Amino acid sequence: MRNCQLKKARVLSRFLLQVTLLQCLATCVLLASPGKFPPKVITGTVISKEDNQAIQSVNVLVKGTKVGAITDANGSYSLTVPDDNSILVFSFIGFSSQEMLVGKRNRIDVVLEQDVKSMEQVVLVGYGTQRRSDVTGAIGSVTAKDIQDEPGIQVAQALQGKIAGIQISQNSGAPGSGLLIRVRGTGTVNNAEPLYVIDGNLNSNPLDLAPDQIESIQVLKSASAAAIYGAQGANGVILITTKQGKSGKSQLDVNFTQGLQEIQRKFPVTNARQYATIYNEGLVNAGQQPLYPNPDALGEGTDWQKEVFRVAPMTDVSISASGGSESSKFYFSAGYVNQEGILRGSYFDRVNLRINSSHNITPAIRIGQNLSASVAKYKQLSEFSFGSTLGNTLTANPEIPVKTPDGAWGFSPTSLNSVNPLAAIFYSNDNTRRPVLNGNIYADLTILKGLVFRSQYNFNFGYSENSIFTPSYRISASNFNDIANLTENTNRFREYSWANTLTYQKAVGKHTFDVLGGVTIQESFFQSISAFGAGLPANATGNINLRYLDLSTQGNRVGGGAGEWGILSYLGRVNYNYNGKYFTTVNFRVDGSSRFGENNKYGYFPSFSVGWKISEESFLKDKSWVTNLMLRGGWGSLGNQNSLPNYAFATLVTPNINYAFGSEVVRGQAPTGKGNPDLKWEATKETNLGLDFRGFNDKITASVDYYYKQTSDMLLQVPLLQYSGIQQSPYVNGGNVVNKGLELMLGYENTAPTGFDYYVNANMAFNKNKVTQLSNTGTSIFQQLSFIGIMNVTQIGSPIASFYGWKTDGLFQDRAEVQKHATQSTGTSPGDIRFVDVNGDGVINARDQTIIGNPWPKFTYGLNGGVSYKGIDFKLQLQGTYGNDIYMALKFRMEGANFFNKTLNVWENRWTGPGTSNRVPRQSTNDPNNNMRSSEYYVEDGSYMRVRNVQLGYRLPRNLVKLRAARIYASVQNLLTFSKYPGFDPEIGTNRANNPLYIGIDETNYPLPRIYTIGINMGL
Amino acid sequence: MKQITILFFLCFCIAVNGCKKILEKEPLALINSSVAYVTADDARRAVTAAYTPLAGNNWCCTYVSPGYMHWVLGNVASDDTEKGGESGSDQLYAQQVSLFNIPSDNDATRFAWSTEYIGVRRANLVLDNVPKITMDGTLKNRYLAEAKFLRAWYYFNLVKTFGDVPLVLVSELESYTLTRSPKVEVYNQIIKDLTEAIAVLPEASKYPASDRGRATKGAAQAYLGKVYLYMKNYVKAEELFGTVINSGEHALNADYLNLFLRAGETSTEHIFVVTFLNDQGALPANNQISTVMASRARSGWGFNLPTQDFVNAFEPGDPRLWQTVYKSGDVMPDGLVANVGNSTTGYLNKKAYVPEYEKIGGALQPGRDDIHMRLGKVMLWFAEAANENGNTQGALNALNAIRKRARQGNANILPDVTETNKAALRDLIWREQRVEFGQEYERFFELVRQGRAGQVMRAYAAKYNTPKGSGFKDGVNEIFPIPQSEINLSKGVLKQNAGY
Repeated sequence: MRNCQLKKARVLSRFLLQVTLLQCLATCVLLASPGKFPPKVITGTVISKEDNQAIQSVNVLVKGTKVGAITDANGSYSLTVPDDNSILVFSFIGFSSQEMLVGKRNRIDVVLEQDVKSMEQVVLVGYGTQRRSDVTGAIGSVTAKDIQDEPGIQVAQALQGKIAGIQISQNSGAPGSGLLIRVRGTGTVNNAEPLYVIDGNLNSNPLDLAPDQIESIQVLKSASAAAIYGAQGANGVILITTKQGKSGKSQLDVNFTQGLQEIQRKFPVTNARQYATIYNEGLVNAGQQPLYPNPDALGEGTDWQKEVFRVAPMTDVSISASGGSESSKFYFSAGYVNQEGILRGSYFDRVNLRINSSHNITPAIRIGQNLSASVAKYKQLSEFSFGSTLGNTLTANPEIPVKTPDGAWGFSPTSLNSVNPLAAIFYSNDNTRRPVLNGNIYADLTILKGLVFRSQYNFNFGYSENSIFTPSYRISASNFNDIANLTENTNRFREYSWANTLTYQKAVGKHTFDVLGGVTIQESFFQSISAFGAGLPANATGNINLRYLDLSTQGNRVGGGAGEWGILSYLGRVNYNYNGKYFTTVNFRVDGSSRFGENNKYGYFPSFSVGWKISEESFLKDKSWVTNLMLRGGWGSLGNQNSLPNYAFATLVTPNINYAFGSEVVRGQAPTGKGNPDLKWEATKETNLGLDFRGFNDKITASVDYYYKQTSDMLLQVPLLQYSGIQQSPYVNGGNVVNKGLELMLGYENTAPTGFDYYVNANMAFNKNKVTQLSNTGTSIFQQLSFIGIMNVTQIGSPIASFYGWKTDGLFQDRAEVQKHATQSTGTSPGDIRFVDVNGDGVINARDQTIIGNPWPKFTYGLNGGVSYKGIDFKLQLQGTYGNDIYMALKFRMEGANFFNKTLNVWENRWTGPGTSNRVPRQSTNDPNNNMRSSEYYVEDGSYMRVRNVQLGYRLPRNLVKLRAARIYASVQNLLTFSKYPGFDPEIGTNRANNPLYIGIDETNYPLPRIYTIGINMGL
Repeated sequence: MKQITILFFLCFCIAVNGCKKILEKEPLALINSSVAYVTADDARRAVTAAYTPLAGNNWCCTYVSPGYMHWVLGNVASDDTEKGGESGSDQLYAQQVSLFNIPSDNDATRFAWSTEYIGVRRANLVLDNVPKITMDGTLKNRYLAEAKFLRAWYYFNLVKTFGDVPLVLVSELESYTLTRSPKVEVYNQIIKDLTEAIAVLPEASKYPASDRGRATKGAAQAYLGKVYLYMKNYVKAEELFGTVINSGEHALNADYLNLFLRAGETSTEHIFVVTFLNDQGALPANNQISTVMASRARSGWGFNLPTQDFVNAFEPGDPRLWQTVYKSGDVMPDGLVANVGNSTTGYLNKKAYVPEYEKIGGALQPGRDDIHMRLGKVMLWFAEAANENGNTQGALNALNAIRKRARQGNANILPDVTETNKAALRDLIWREQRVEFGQEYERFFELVRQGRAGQVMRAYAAKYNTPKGSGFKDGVNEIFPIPQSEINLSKGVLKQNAGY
């Protein structure tokens, strides 16, 4: 533990090295006295009291001067002091500083003692760092240790359940799938994704970053913390720092993990006999002839889930080297991760390279770079919709054989609509390759004592090339493609940002200032190119070398578009504290954006926060039970420019509104929308109040945060009266959303002298989301699903994207009940769903639709615990949500009467006569009551608790292996899930990357796999 | 240190000087509307865009979706057609229409409203902007006349679907406080637009083949006749239909079935069609309506099922029956044996059937034209108007010409009609209309026009013991509800139709 802390301290030192140095300088300069004796050379060593080991990188400074030295790997130093009255100040992060009067001595050896208070983390706060305990905004932190050895492609997967107030859901279990991330609720109906900043590089995509290259993650939750990111910070900011080299002996680390993945649970569906029975029933109830004369003869039929799901491997291997001298440091890492999908035919793999280095050219000049190159490749299968691969799997008629006796793909001559999902996977070739280069170069110049200029140039560029090949095939009369075709899509992007900042730190007496000012510019460009061709050679089916557009013979068409935006910003910050007791931070940022309309070109984003470190007050200062107690509060204003399309301010002509005359397509065009030159950012204002506690020998940490966040000027496409003929409603700033919530965090950590260490961290976050204004009163934003129709609404007084439809009240048991009830539909019969006549007008119609569910959890929580004894460590992580609903859209096909396979729920619980059921309606293929309209019938409880990760590791003793570190471990990801949700998996994010209003809707999501992993970490 | 300070200011200056470029981004790959009406080509593009809403004919899959779903409002609403599809709830709006259980947010009516007004605006954009363009005067006048024809076409759909509607005649409205104009005002505007279009538009034969699909003089005359028919102005209707029949521009296609196949697309019987191409290379190539109506056993979706009642309406031996509908086991024009999949009536619409040999390049949806006005319709409407005007012989001549074509040389079927009693002849003409242009998007509006929609639909429901049609309320269901969202947006200025 001690070694570990020491190591951590060293790591942290590089952040604080300069800061501390400068602070010392600033403090000491005032106390300097002129010397009278001749200069002399002093040498010595610095060791740690705890383990008597030499400490490297200790600052040794002649008090009141700029003269100083740094200890080498042996803890030795040497410097020239002006006279015998000189005082040497020895300081090192994590240790109490010591002062020594030189006197007559020529050699001064020092033993430094660890300082518990200064052991605290230093955290990134955007364009700078701050001591964790001095932070007055709300920041969530995760270090490399917290996320290590968890299988995952993207870093956010490992963040789940670890930070209060961040809701993370995987959109699907498909390898490389996206995640829904919401910091403190959803503040907008538009883009609500947080801003990622990797090593100061804005907008880099976390999909391209290997999690094991990450040193630490800070999530700027409150507006007062994120305000320095102005018009891009409203959805929260995730600051990621990648690993850097340390001076000293070079190190080599190798990690290897091998996992096996399986489906957590199969979805219970009917077998062939049950399916045929139900379908017959549906036909007979609709007055038609049954299709299957003898359902029992069909037996079990095909278990399609068994056919398409597989046990799939996952491999993650990485090698990293780091090290350096006092002047130059490097970190190098290369890694490869490959995740095969549990659904046959899907995979993701990625190669990552990273080189980070920094060089102290002179004491005043430091330059460095961070560079990452990655190539991701993946094959996707369609998901989320009716007719997707997974949808087809669940709905496929079990009567269909996988293959016919002659080896061809199976189909059913009586049920030609049903797709053979295995054949669909076989013929699906949707491959993407994504090479990306990103990184930055920077220079730090110490101009004057305490005054540092930093210039950092960041870049992201790359492209994704997607190729979709559909071979010619013929499975049945309804399932075929006669002409092979190929689509090639390329999306290029390039982006750069340049930040020039000036920081000045100064302490005067008990006053400490840290001032930042800067100018940043950022520009982003993308271009898409697509090409389609048909009539590829027949043997392209089996020969990928023939899948090129040059071989297409017909139907060629091309398309392409582009867009760009730019931001120019001025930013400033003042951190001030008085006597280490009273803290304040004031941020100010001005953003001009090309996306803003002519009349609102610049946005102004101020914030401030204050903190009172009560533990520094005299009445608590000496109390042993408290190390840190900080009361903090703040207010901030932020923007969300990402919601704005690039050119929404202009009235544009929609090209290619074509029409055919004769035998030619004639190009047409017309303005179809309306620009709005008044457009501006969405504004978020948030008030935050929090309390941090650390005490009882640092065993207990706790924090509480309350926030009230209001988004105003939310960007809406306010519908115009349709008789205007304007199709695309113009964008208007005109909606308000309020999120308020409470975040709790409690941790206990015990280090026992026996070597038995354990910790538990729990976090919990409550959030309430409510739309308080939509600019055009009386309008709501509706979303619909194909077949089902309107099923969610964003309206005043309710949470964003609430589920919408009719309330249900069981089933009609007999005709008298139908007649007694409000009129539903012509043809309503016993066994049909009884919808509630909400407005009591005796008719069930559109006016009875209401809010029937909430996709947002009342609270989310996480629990992380660990035990270690000698070399053995055990880790357990739980994570869950409570109070959210899931809209189980797949019921439309799987529980409505039609020729698709059914859920077992239909077989077991459907109505077949009075008193048989009050839950699942009768089967009738013409469904005159429209039982499958959007109603509470679709809404299920989405609460869940998941055992996310269980890990058992063993650190091999050093005398056994001649290695710096060697650890083997085994883990299970997604071991158990406790939930009432009847579908595959209650973890449902969003299904449509470009529309954040489709939340919590299960349209047959790819289920998350359970992953069994074994791994080894070795360090040399 | 001085150098560093200079460097810092240098960086700062570069950043600030770059700002203009950073903050002013001209749209890429997009044209600003301020330069959209300059050249003759711009005029052509503007007119083309005004035609495009015609191509929207079903919700999900057309290039200009959602569109005016003629198949729902014209066919499914009537006694000729069941909805079909995957299940009862599949395309719910169509089921709601079929049952006359139509909420004010019904999709079919919502999309009919929005699509036709998009068309109106596109026509208005032409009429507002093209006159300013310097170009050939004759062509410019034709473009303007085409726009007037289209505006009339869209308004005709609106008025017959919704009754009174807001009358918008400019492309940019100053405010959105319009009320619904009385039907007669809308009709007067339609008559004005069509009359002005007739004066300018060329005859069909004057257009080169590459302009097939454009509005012609004959099309404008035929629609003007239809408008008068809907207004029960039989004198004007007979006159205009007669003009079309006698123009020499159009003739009945000898082969009825052929008229609906690709080979018949260039027949002079067609007066106004929405053209689609079989070229997959550019939009709008596909007319998905043939997929919408094709068998589920053949990659179709199985909508628009002809009813038994419709089948029964054909006289014994009428060849048009099996040229209009098909059932499992029928041998199709391409030699395939039909399988109607899950059709609940056992029938599918043969007029939308695409034989294998038409599927160029294996496309599932070849660009079959949507036929909206053809001489067959004009002649039977002429017959109806003539009969109402007392021109019995004229009526009989037109009616029997249609029956003669239908007979296709078989003397034993479909004898000439000789009825001279006005009421009896009217019934015979109506029956002939039902079968001659069955499934061609007219039936429901015909029943309403003839004042017998409720009576026919309720009789249908009783006869077949089905909910379909039983919900029809006289005085309500002759027109459809205005979209509720539109009423909400108007803050109640637009009033809903009675009964919705």
